[in-house]
Amino acid sequence: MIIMDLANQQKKLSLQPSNRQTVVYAGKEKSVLAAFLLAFIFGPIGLFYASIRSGIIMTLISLANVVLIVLSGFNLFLEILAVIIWIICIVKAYNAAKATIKDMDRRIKFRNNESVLYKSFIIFLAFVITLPLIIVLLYIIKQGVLQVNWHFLTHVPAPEGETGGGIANALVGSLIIVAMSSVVAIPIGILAGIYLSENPGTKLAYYSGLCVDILQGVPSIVVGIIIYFWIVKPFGFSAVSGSIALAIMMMPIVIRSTEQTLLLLPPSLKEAALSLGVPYHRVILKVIVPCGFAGILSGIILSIARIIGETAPLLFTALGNNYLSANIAKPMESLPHMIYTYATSPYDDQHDLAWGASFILLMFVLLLNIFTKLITRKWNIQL
Amino acid sequence: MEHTVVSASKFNAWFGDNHVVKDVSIKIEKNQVIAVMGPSGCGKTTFLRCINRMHELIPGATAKGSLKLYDDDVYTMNPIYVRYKIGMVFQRPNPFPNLSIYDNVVAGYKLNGIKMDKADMDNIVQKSLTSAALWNEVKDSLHKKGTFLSGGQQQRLCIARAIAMEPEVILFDEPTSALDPISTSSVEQLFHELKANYTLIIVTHNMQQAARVSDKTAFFYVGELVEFDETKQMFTAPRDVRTQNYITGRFS
Repeated sequence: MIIMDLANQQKKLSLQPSNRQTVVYAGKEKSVLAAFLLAFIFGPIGLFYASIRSGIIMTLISLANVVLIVLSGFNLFLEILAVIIWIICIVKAYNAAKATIKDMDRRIKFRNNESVLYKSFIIFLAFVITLPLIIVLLYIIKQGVLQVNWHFLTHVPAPEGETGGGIANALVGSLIIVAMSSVVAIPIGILAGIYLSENPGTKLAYYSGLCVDILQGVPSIVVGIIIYFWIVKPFGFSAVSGSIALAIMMMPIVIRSTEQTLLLLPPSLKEAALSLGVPYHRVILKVIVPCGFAGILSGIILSIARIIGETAPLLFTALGNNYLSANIAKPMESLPHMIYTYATSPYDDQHDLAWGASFILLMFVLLLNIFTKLITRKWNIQL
Repeated sequence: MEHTVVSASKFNAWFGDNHVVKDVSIKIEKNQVIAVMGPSGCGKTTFLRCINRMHELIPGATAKGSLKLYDDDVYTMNPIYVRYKIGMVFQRPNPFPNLSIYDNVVAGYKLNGIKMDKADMDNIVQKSLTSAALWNEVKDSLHKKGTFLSGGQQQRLCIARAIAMEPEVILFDEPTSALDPISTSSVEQLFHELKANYTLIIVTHNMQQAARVSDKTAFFYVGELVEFDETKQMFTAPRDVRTQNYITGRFS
């Protein structure tokens, strides 16, 4: 009965005409012309006239733009256009809302307009953000793609002053060096990752996790100099020393990705295996690792993509070699190192070689990333 | 008493300093369904997990007292052997997502690296799935992943997985609380059939379920075993006032 009464009361209330009326907002309208002039003269600052929120957003974007100009010389000329369009849209919407807020419909329309506006602005920003990336990619492809042919891939660089030549030595060298660092870093990385995920909260896990984070932040040139003093000084320049430097760069990535993947697995999975009388080590090997396999593998591939372009530690470890060499105890060429040497040389032919090598390197990284996406899609286990 | 399968006397369990199971003494007889009920946080799940030594896997968890499987003390046996003999089914169905239905059933053997003939294995799979009332539903898709099944089917798959190890006792930790009513009734149906070969201990929040499926009921309150008696007796004329209050819904 009480419920019925309440419902009736509510019905009555909603039928009362006074309840349908909404507050009429007082206040002046904003001028479209003023908005245009302000945006034109003051740029993003002018947007504060329309609304504080948009002013803040646009100012931040402009600051980002300034940083972008300083870093890459790339300017978002469209920005001022966006400011003008945005300010007019906001002021018009504001005026429309001001002038005609009399009932619900108008207000909903105003809100709809506002969300359409925000949505299109977000899409515009997404486009602006990807633009530099696309331009860089296109430029490298344009410069590099013409260099690549069978001859380019299977020959060593021509002596200075001669035309032709290829990057076979760098290609082989990079593959060998990356393979060697993977052999070192992947097992250690996975084991450490398993330890961290299995023993969260212990002191050792806390401090080793901290070390991993610090290691991840160590600049690659610093890793290089450590290897230089520890390994290159006593044993001389070699591919092995380069691999060790890269392995050190690679390990934290593998450790963290393994740990994060395994932490996501539900504990019930482990309980299920343990309740069947499976010993702990077999639970890890046969249940936990296979279930997190896709994540671990994509972590490994991403770490390879990360180190394959690493130049700094190779400068003074693997050094470089103009000839095709598979002797891991001797200096060896690698793709990033080759790009570095040939891009700074005075010969146009060698610049072309550097562009070609950049293109190949880019394709490697791109393919590895696409591969990772495919793996996670295909082998991802549904829990 | 040769009929007693699991017996506890003065059994205690802790999480760190938190005393969750207090001086529990109980004798569980063979081929019976035992329902364990009580309000949340009363230690019933902890007690259940102590029986096959899953409790000690949680950091800081300790247990003390005597808990016997037949005449052997569970806490001096190898935990791995204990878990062979005392299977467990969890609250949420947890089939191994990386294994097929077939492999899920024989997971206890495969994960332990026990080698077996294909024919024997097929036999075990069919027998276990039949006992778990799942064979007819999955016999054509044995090599699909276990996670493709519905929730109720997954839970029966987990039961089949426990049965496949031929345990003495199967522990159920709120086995139907994540299932819909139809799946629940099929799992409850199963308890009646499994009783012939196994001893079942079922933790449940659902009093109707306890009344429906169990032969004997144990009532836990704040870590103590308040009452342990024939289910009929318990639901018609409970001896303890706390049991009475719980059953009549004075507190939950």
